Amino acid sequence: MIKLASVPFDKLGHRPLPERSYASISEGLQHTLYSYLILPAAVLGVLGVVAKRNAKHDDDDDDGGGSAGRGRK
Amino acid sequence: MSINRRDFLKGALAGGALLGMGAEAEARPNKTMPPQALGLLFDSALCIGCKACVAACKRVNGLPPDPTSGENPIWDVPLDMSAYTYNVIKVYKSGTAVHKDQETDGYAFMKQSCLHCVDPSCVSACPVSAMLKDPVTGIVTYDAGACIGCRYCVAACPFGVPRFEYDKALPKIGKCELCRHRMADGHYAACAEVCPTGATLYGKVTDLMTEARRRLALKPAKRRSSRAGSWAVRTRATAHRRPSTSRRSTARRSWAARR
Repeated sequence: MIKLASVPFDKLGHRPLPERSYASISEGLQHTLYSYLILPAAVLGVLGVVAKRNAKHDDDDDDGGGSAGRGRK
Repeated sequence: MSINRRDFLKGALAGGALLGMGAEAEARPNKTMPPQALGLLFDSALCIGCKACVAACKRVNGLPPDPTSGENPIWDVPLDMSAYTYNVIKVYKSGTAVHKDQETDGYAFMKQSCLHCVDPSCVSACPVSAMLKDPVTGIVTYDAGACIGCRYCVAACPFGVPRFEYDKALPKIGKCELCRHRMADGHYAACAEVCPTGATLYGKVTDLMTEARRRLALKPAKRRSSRAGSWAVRTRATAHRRPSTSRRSTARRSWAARR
């Protein structure tokens, strides 16, 4: 579609457009974040490490129960 | 949570590695126009606002009267594009609105319909490829059979073109498809077929661009006025040497839909 007019186009309902298309920007962003699923896998790995570091085992309880069962408190 | 130097360094190293991985993927550039792409050329200076294109579009696409026309519409007067109106002529008015194609105290008409973008957002956003851009004709097509009604295209289009049938139990998207269903019969876009002034032309985009450049290069012609031999400056507006009603002497602007 090509349009010609004497009145400026932003007054005719066509605002100025950026040079980069919106589709290329959004697709670029998506494909960067999810390329080969590296970043999601890496984030999952980091979350796993953090969870592991913060996990508190029953063995480490201060009551000195050693290998005590779950129901013992 | 306290952190020692060793943990901090490990975290910084891991974060840096993550950032480095993310920067590897390059954003794609804009897509390019198919060489045989079809399209429309709309010249606001030639449009007289008769809305023959709106009526013809409704007729050939079998569209009912628009709900925005009123409670019990006698006349189908759509105010905007909708699922039942693929093409509409809007008017710009300023001040006294007496001079055609003039920014102040003037008025101008503008056609609103699908622009069949070179790099369409609706096609990019559609998760089921119901919206596709034809690789040959460049027409942005819609496949109702594939559509799941998510309305991503409605949200994605920066021009508000795809419209959803909110009042239907089994809704579809409504948008201009450049009358591709009539091409087998040798017809082309109905809006361009019926336009009485040649304001809407249909053809290959390369040809239309040549015509648009030719029109933009036209100098406002001097024409002897019928009154007392005075000279009036008028815009030579048409490709057919038809004088416009405009007295504006500046050149026209072009607006090509890149996306």
